[in-house]
Amino acid sequence: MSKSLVEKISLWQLAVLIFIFEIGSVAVVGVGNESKQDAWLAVAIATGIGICLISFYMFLLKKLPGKNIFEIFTFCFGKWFGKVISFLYVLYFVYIASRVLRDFGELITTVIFETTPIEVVMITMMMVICYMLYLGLEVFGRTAEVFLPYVFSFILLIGIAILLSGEMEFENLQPVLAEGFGPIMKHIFPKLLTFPFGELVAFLVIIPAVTHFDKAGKVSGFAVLVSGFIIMYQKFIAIVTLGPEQLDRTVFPLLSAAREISLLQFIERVDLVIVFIVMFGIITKVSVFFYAGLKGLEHLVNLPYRYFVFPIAAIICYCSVQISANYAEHIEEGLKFIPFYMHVPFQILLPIAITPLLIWKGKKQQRGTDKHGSV
Amino acid sequence: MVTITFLVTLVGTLFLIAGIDVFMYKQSFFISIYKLFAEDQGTNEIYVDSALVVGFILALIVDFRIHKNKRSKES
Repeated sequence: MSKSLVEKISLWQLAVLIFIFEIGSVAVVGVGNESKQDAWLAVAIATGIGICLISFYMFLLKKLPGKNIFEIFTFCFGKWFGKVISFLYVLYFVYIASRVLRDFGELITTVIFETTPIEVVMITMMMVICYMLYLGLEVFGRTAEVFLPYVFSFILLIGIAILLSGEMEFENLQPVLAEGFGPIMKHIFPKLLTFPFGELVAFLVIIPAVTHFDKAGKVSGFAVLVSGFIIMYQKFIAIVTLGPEQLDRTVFPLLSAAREISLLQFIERVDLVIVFIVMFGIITKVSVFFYAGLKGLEHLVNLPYRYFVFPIAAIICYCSVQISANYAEHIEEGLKFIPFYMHVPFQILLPIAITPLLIWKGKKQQRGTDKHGSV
Repeated sequence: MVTITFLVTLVGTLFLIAGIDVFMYKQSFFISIYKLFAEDQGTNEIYVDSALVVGFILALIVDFRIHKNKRSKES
């Protein structure tokens, strides 16, 4: 018998989680760099498609209210095949959590703790995440709520500070659409769409736990829109400060842009503020994927997910080191393999594949209920 | 059950990582697996190896506690 507790988060907490989740690792590695000076435009278009994607996910969840993606798989494919698909999703979530944790480890060991082993940084971060998730989804939601004002205001202030430092060159934005929409669209699908917007597939586990489920669709869409604007803003800052050529060569674009800040010969080295934003973004992102994986295991073996928190955290730590030998390899895999062979199937193809089954089985169940109700 | 889940998830994730290496670097699956377990010189992989062992021990402890609770409920 399942001993899972009922955990609920508010609509505001859901919006905050989506917002911080979206800007999480985007602030580390940047997105749409291939679109050069039109990257902000690519992000704007991808945001529109991202809103359509989250609306599609909501459509799936509304077919079986209160059920998460794993329960939907069991409903669609039956007990055993549903469990196989669920297990594949668990592996996907654990693997992506490891990748995000690695992003953070690389940033910290490059920028702040240069002599600290990356393994120590990642284990420490994972311990914080473990503690937060062990206390539950509600604590996770409240933590995100507490840190939101800092994350939001720091991002806005970074742009203003660079502007006041006189480091922005707006000519860097030109020429706009020099090669037309073609190259931009090529970068949007699948790379920009799957990272960061498609990763919202992990919220198919969290959204059913929202108090006012009927309003979750609108709130999620709005949160994706706001986060899209913030990513655009970040991209805009990076382009006008660094220029498209330097942007392409920089490993951590927003961080490099923030290093240009020098106000009154007093306010300098504010890149630590970026590290704070990234740190909280990564905590949220790893936690969401980790929680999604844990809920998957809860569904698979019918035991409360808290039992798995520490063991699976150890696997995430271990895999974050094993996924690649160095940062260059990590980024190469992230650009050449992950979007095409992992993100697209798990974020888009499988959810599309279950849609007709879900509609058909939902109607069948409805007919059965009506029949029994009328007798 | 927690220990089994831990082991199955670990093996599944490691196979996934090895599979990606096979695809990316056109090497055999066994070489990819070997490279995962080989300790690279000058790295601190021992930390995460230790974390993994601790995770395994915790999984065993959780399983033992579940088993103990079950038995005390039955008696």
